[in-house]
Amino acid sequence: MDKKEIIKLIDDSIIIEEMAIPIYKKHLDSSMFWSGFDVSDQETIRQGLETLIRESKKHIKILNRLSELAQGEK
Amino acid sequence: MFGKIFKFLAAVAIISISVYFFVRVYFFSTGQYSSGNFVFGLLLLVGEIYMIIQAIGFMMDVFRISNKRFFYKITPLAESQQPFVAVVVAAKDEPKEVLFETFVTLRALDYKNKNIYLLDDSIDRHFLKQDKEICDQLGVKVFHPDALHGAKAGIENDFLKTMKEEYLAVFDADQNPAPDFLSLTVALAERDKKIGFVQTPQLYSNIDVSPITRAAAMQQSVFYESICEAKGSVNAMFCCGTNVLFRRQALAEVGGFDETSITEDFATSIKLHLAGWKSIYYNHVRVFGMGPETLPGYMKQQFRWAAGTIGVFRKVVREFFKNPFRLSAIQWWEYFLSGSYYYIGWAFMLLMICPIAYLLFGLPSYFMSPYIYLASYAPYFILTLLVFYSVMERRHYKVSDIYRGMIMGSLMFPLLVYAAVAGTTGAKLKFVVTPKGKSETVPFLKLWPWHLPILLNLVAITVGLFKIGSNTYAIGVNIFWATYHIFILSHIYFYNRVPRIEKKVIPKEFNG
Repeated sequence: MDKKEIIKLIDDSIIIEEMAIPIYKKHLDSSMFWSGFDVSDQETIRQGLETLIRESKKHIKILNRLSELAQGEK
Repeated sequence: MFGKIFKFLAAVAIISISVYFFVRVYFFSTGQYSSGNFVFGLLLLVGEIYMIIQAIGFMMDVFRISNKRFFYKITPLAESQQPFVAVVVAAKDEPKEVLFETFVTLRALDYKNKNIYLLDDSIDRHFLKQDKEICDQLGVKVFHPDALHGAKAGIENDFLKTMKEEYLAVFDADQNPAPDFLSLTVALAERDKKIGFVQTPQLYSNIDVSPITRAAAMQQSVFYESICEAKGSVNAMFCCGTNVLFRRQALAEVGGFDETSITEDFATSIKLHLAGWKSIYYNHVRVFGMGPETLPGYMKQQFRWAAGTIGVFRKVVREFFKNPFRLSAIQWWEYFLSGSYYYIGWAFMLLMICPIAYLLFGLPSYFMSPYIYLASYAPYFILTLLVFYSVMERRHYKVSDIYRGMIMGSLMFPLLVYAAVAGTTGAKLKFVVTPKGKSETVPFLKLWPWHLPILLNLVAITVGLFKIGSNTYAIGVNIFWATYHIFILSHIYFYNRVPRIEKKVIPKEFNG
């Protein structure tokens, strides 16, 4: 794997973490209606999704740093 | 256990439907009436027979899927074995916020050998520029058509001529797939080289925007969760235009997408099945999308689906007489059921006219004793509803939401009557994209096809109340039905409201 490929992989991961996860989260949140779970289970799942979003923000920072390193900017 | 109960209920429902059918036909054919009454009674009978056929079709679906759900155990292919897939979004003047979310989720598809394309049919320079910018930023290739087509099938066919990938995954501009969409559907398609396409469900996730979206989502659920699964079980699932994976070779063999229909998906499916290709329905939601948010948007969507499907139904009938053995009996049955579904507007209208005609002009419709009518109709009506509600309830839907979906289906009858005429006569129709993000309502006066029957029913009820002493039972029953029809029709005012559209926001760096 060369440097270009590594940078592309990191960029893809940033897109997923930064932009795709909030989109999935939004869809899952509003689709909970279809799940058939009771209200307390739905709330538990929502909290789980919030945790994922928080974790995702940490990942973004790490990935951005990795991207900078791979591009040799810093 | 549940499977056995459903199977039993569906079988009993089919028997009760058949009993009602024979009773109705018997009394109609042996009744004494004038020629005017005959024509009127015949029209009603035709409407009822249509309803009966559709009800039997649904019961057969329930019967087929009640034993087992069609699960597929899928092992995604290793990267080295993955065939190339062209992931395409055909769009025309779409808001960039909508495209942005779709492209982000396409980029996030967990499948190495993919190329993402925007098939841009926009004319407006503003949209062309905006599309190019957003595609450049997200690594999406832009494809322009050879000529302006105005319909999805045209630009898709232009693209087919140039594509090198083995598969074509098609998404509407507002459909956001989950990361495993391709790895699952491609693995399924790779199992058998005769599989022409793999269809997955649509799920509207913007249900809180308006009552229209919620009701439309419910209608989609009935279709995708029960009807499609049953069609899939007998290789009769048709393509629904989005969230679908095609084998390029299959499309190439049948000459590409059918450009003569505004429901190119349905029209192309029959071509593929006739050519011996198989279809798979993978009943797992892997894509989230947006449903119509407003009454005008919903009407445009329904009109296109109805007129287009009925237009294709003509072709289905022609093909049936030309090549009756090219499809199995059950495949033909399923195509006939789906192709004729949108005549439901006419059936509903005929049923609605009956109480009005009886109350205003004394025109009888049933030509049988009210007691025989009740004894034969009640089991049919109750069992059909019971099976329908039970199937949906089993899949966790609330009665209130099922009710909304059903009301919405009946409510659209004036539009479906018009669409059925357009589709049957082969009127030249233009492909119209369902609008998104627009806060619009139908002007009050333009709702005259709903005002008029409400008014007629009201007049009929008033006249009936004056005459009720002359035949209390018959007039009472007809007043009940007229009231029920007003109740359904009055929902149009509830649904014609401004939606609560939450503006999509895209990151600054993608905002031009």
